[in-house]
Amino acid sequence: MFSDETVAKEINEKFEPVWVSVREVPTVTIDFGNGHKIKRTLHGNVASYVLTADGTIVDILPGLYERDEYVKQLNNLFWVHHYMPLSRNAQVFLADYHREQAQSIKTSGKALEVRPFADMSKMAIEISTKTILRPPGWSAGRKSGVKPVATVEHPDFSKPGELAHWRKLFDDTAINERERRGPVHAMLLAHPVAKPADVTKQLYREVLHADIDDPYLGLGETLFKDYPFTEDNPEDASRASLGVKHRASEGSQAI
Amino acid sequence: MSRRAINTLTLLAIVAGTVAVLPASAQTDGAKRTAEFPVKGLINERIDQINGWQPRLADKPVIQGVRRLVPADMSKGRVEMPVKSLLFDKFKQPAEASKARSVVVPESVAVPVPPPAELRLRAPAKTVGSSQKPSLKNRNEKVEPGKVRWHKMVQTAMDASKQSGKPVLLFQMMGHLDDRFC
Repeated sequence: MFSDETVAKEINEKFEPVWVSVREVPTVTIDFGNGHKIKRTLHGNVASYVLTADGTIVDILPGLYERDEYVKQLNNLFWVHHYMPLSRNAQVFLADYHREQAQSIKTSGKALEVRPFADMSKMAIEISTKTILRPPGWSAGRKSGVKPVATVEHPDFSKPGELAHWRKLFDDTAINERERRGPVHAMLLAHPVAKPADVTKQLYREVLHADIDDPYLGLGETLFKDYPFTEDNPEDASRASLGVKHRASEGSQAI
Repeated sequence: MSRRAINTLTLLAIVAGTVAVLPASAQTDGAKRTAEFPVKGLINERIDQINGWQPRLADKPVIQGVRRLVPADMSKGRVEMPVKSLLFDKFKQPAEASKARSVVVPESVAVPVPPPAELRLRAPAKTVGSSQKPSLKNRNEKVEPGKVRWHKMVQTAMDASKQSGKPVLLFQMMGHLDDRFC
């Protein structure tokens, strides 16, 4: 996605980007027993945080997004960050933002949109969530002739740009917005002025369902509970199957 | 007719009957041999095939049910020939063995014939499958992580944010964005 011109341009113009690894990527190897093996990485457990200069979380986009929605959501968060210092109380503004977004997702399944350039209006308006948040689909309604994006079931990954039309990515995006954004807002509402280190583990465990403290990423129960050949299981498999919390691996980063 | 004459005639009749029954005995014996010594049957069959003998109606034995016994199967030379053929077959794959039976092998060919190319022992799959391509680890070289101008560290991004006024975009992931396969 970051190879896409549109995405890269948007990020480079509006953000100070940095990437971090929370742990090594899990891989799956299938040995077909005839000398043929395939190895694949399991991807998708990513999160895009938008932070203030002091590291306070403005909002989080959980999981992978398709290009246009990712750019749109990043743009919304750019404006939320822009409005924060213009509000009477940035902390209250941010709390109101998360509360109203959580409520909107709960009732309509969609997040509210953020009105851009509200502070540049001829009429000086007070910056608050009431004045900057707009109902879902607001920006699309203002644009005429917007065609729905054609998606493909099996994209040709060798062709540049094909990934942007992958249907699975659109499905994931819809799930992220409908099911994951709500808990993210609730989590950030419960942790005002949180830094990434304060919520990362909770985010991965409760929202992305990949417990980074667990060596089996929370899959222990599925992997070991009904596996009859217990001698094949690693020593800590029984604890994993019981859902016992594991000590954080030393290699995992705090942020 | 005296009793003696009657006994003599009876004895002659029995002897004549034995002679007459003899083919039937031979039939029984032949069937028994075929049944009890399947190897013999196999050898016979092999000899027949090697010699190109095809059963014809005229070749059928007079006595029904008797398999055609190859007289030469008692011959040393004849017995040894299939052994050579069997040795030959040893170098064939099972599926190929049945095909080999129809091949006329001259007696002079005692040295095993090399099996066809497709039947030769292949190299272990390990050398064919895995070592041809580099492993994922080797292939997972470092690449440019897209066209985004990433800061190297979070603190650097935060410092830059203070200068530019732009928000920080922190992309968290499992694995490494600059790995070719992440």
